[in-house]
Amino acid sequence: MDTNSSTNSFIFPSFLALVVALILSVVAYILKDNIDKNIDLDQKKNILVCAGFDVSILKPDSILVEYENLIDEIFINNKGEIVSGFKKENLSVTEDKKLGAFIYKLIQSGSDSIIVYPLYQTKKSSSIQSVIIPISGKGLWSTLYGYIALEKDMVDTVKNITFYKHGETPGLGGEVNSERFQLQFKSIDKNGDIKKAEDRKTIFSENALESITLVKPGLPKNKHQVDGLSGATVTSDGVTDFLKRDLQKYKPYFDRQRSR
Amino acid sequence: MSSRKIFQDPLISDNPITRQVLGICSALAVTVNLEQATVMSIAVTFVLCSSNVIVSMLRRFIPSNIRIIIQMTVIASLVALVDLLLKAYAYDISKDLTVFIGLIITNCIVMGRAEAFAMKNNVFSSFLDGLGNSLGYGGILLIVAFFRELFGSGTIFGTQVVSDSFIASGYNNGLMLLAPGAFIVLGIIIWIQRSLTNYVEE
Repeated sequence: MDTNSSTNSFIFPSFLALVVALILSVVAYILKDNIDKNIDLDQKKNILVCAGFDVSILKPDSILVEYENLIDEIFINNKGEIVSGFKKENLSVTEDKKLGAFIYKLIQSGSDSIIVYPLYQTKKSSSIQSVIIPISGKGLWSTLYGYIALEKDMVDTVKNITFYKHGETPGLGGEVNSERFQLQFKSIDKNGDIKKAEDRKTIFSENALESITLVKPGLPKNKHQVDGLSGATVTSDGVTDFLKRDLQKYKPYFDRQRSR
Repeated sequence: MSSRKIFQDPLISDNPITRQVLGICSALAVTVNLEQATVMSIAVTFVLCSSNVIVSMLRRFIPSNIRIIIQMTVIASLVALVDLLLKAYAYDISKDLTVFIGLIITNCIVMGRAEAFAMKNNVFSSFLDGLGNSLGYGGILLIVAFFRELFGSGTIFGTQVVSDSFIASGYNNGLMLLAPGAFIVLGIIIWIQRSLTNYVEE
């Protein structure tokens, strides 16, 4: 057979593509459960870390147990009320790929479906009291997914920020996951000492939601600003935008908590 | 060429990094600590050996006018496979390595060996060539990572080996954690090798 004939130039790659596509899809199918389990575990770990728990020495199984013991997963509606007593099957999750945001719809019998927002809280009995808000949105290349934690009492002071998935450039936009960037949001400084109240970042100015803005590194900052990422303006602006957008969704809930 | 020579040459005297100066990007990127370097070496070993074997098996059927595309398809599929396996069994490491696993596709060593060796030699020789080259690559990666982790973080495989008082007095060398640190270590390794073998670039 003449391997260089033009027919063979079509047949050979088509055949090869078919074979490798088949192999890869079979492997992806077999490993799917395992990968999903890892992603779920990683998210729970991130929620715990964001809330302020140290999970670095825990084994996967105990992380899941700790999560059950420490964290309450709740849903609120657009009036800030807690929605409860529904079945998991009635909740549909879709991702708006353009905005990089998850949309949770609760299908109710007899009426239209309502939009709900997920929220994580540490249990009352826990030693740390935080509220964790999921955040996600577009950076430069990719959608960033993460959590921001707030002090539970006034849901104002920021406690931590984490990102569990992103595809930004390592060393530039990828620095969202660096200690240096995240320390700005934390309740402790780099030596592990508790920060003074005036050094902490807050999302409210009086009763207006200010969110947190990433500004040019090195400039003087107020309580609602942090250093952005050098060499990653688009990622920084993206984070600023989706922090504001996502926190806004929870504004009614925050108002309720704050006026209590 | 004897099998022994095929395997041995790329380990030191014809090392892909220090002698052929290929695969430098990943040698800079994933050598901050030994754990990442080890996983990367294993991943590259798997991809390089398999791609060499597969390309060598198919070499009589690959139409020569589209051979690069075929090699690329084989390599890219293998890398996708490695990525899936890491996500399923070593999720944290796969997160740390992020895009660099995907970038094995563009590692010049893999493509270079497929085109320069596997297309012309039998399966067994190609396997040995792949193994030799990936071990030569991995060896240098581990040496660079060893020095970067030791001087940059004071740890080896994540275990602290330098006393706390040293670290408190500013032992950690931040330069070693950045890409220029890898350049310096790599440069010194190449310098030592070339002065020992009296090799001069023509």
